[in-house]
Amino acid sequence: MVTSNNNVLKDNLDDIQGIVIRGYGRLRSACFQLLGITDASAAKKWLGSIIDEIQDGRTAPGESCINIAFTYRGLEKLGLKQQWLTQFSREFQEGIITAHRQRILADTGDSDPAHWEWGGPNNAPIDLLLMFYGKDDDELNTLYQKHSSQFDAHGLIAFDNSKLETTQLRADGKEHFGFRDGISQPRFAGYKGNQPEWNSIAAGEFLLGYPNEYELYTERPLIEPSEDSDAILANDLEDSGKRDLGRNGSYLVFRQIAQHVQKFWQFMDDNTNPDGQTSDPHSRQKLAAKMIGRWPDGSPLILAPENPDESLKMANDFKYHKEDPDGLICPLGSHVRRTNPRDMLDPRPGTKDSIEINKRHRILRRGRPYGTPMTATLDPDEILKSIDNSENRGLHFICLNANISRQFEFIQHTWSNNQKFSGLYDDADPIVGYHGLDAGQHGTFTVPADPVRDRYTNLPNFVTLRGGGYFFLPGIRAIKFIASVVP
Amino acid sequence: MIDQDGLTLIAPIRAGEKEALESLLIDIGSNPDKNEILPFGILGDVHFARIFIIEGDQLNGIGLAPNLCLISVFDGPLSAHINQLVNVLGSGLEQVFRHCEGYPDSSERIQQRLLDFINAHQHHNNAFYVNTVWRTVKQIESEKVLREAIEAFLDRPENKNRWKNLDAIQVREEIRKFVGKQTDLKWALQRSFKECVEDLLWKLKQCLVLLIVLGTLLVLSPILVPVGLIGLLSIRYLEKTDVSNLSRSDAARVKSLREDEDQNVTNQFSAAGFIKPGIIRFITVNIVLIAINFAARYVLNRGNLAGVTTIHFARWVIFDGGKRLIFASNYDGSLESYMGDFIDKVAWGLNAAFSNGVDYPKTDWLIFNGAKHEQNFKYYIRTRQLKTHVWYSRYNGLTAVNIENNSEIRNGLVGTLSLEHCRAWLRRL
Repeated sequence: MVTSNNNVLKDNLDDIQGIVIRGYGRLRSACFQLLGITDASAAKKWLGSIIDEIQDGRTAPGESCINIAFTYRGLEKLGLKQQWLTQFSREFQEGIITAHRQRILADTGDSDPAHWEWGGPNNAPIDLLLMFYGKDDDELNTLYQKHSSQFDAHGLIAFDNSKLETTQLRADGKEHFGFRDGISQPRFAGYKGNQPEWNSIAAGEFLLGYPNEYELYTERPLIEPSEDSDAILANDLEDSGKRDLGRNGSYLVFRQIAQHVQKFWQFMDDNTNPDGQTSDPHSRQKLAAKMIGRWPDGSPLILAPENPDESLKMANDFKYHKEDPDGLICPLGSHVRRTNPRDMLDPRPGTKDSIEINKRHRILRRGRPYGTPMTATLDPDEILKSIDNSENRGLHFICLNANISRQFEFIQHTWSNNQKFSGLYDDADPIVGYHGLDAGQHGTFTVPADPVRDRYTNLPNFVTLRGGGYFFLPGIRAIKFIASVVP
Repeated sequence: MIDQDGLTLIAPIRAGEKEALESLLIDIGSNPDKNEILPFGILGDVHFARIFIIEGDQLNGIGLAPNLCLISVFDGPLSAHINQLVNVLGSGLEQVFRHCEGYPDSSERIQQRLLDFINAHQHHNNAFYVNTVWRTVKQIESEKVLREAIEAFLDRPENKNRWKNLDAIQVREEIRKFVGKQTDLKWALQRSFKECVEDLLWKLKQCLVLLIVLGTLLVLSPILVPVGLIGLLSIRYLEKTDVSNLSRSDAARVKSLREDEDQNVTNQFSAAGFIKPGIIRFITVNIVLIAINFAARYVLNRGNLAGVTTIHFARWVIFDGGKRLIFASNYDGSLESYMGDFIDKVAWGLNAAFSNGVDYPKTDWLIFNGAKHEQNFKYYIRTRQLKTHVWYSRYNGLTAVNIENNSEIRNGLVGTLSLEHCRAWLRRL
């Protein structure tokens, strides 16, 4: 068994699960199966049997593929020793629904985990997450059937609401509000091709066992060589003499975000129609774009201030400070600006120092929309006229990071949901921010303008959380090790 | 111009009374503003206050009793503050202090008992940081009201469309007119002569002090430089044998600490620890704190602590005969972002200030490494942090940056501004 001792990403791709390296955009269909373990040894046998099917990062997947992740409870059930388990990140050990975490993530009111469909205190506990991807629905269903037929026989239970479907990725890349999504992703430094420096992030920010943006190794579970007698795992690169269970693994954050699409466009319409009656489509679209930071087609406000520009729909090489320090073009509180501030924050905005700090708070996004789009075109006029009352659509938000507290939770609490972001007073993220309980409290959104800003003080919640969890996405060797653990 | 100062009271807790005291503090802490025992809200010029217990510990095998610590930040002279506490919160304070050793049992008046006790247990703040010197509670509150009134004025439906047809100078004039018509706001339009004079005098004093200090340091440098080098080399030598017993703080402790965090936009941080033994470390701590205290007063006194803009107040207090150090601060955002800020921007400052504490992550030459070991430092912090049962904050919901912005909004109302300055000023609203 080759145990790689180097921290060069491209030499480790066989051991990294493919979903870290690629978003599988070509595999437009997907579903996520949450599972409970009723029989640990049967489950481990099953794990051992599917190991070769787990997609690694070396090659792009074929017509379909799977990846797998575990909760803390799941790892415990499978027999991992207490002294290993305590070395996982504290956030992972505690899970996503502690009282403190609820405050940090603003999972309150309608988004309170008590109301969740999965992952909450009133839902069946989750032990593992099986991620299915397919070129189309047929491929996906075939793959799913193949695996789900094995659950019963192997001590795995798919409880109520545990199969999370997604809707096929659209050619225009749009999510349910009608905006192209997933344009901006951090790139692994030194891995592939030419990346702008500001977007080139140390691998250790997303994978354990690599130097992170502090040039240090994030803590990860290390075990004694005597406990890995088959030498399955890699050696610890920090020369502790131990074996690294976390190597080539990552933490996966999953949050099911229901989107209130009609409410969104109703708000835009109500706040931009000049006489209270006729819609003003351009202003309506512009207000929405100001909230998001990009036009529906994806073109960023910073590069296309007045109108969308299709040629810029995938544009991502821009910064904020020099072009727009006061947010006159792209509001300071807009969604893309505050979830990735690039060079706008202290210290010394506009400089390398600012970007260096920014690099310590990035996430790799791997989410997929779920639920039927309100209309096929996602045209706002059509949406407003639609009588679809299902509200069962949104985003299965998934992200990967090595340090949940410094990355995902930081973005959520210190940037996105922070009413005080960038010197603002009452502005949480307009799109995903928590604006208070629906009856009575509302959010504020400020659009800087000359001479005087436009301020909207009546924002309702446009999203509601319906489920969530923290998972560990192990390296392939680590999965083999987990499958072989003798309790 | 009214100074801000801090009271630090440390008193050993009577044997066996820690639990009773704790439950009393929890009662008070459930509503620090308006509880029945110590309603801090009735003190008009107190910015923050807290009460916490410094846990009992061991030093060289000798058990150390737990201590009660009461800390406050206020406007005006210390003596006036103590008098106010005694007169207004006397009976509540006595309920708390009764659990402390040496609380007078005499038949004297309650005020006398309290004064005696407070004076006996008051500690000097070795370093005291104020975000913006002379910004009083009254100023903060009145500038908040001012801003909210102006924002509401700008948002009035009949006004919203007018602005587009005016330039920045005209809009500012409209705002000034509006402010001038409000009896409770028109004070904002002018600076009093007294204010201007005091401002100027302070600036002069600042320059003078800095010149004198720098001059003195320069003159003494033939002595100071070699002494400093010897000191630094001694530190380096000690660092080589420093041991940092780093382990993660236990989960239950962190959970308990987190219960109090992020209830609001501002948080408190209270910590205590042992200073590393030996004369070199002791001297270093004292020098560093003198330097911080000086810098806080004369250099870093307008909103910016070496790049960190989120701290309202902070203090360092050496106690227990020079063996231990308390650190207490009020800051905005989560502890994670607060720590991250320091690690990213001022790690050297953290190292200078705290590496003389036992178990601090290893430093090199006093200021290198240490806090830069991001995760180690974050774990270390939690092992020193103390549960703060009572925490009172006067102006919840305002960050330091908000408060500064409110001041600048007020400042921008005074006199005339160029078009460019008007534009910039309006962007604050």
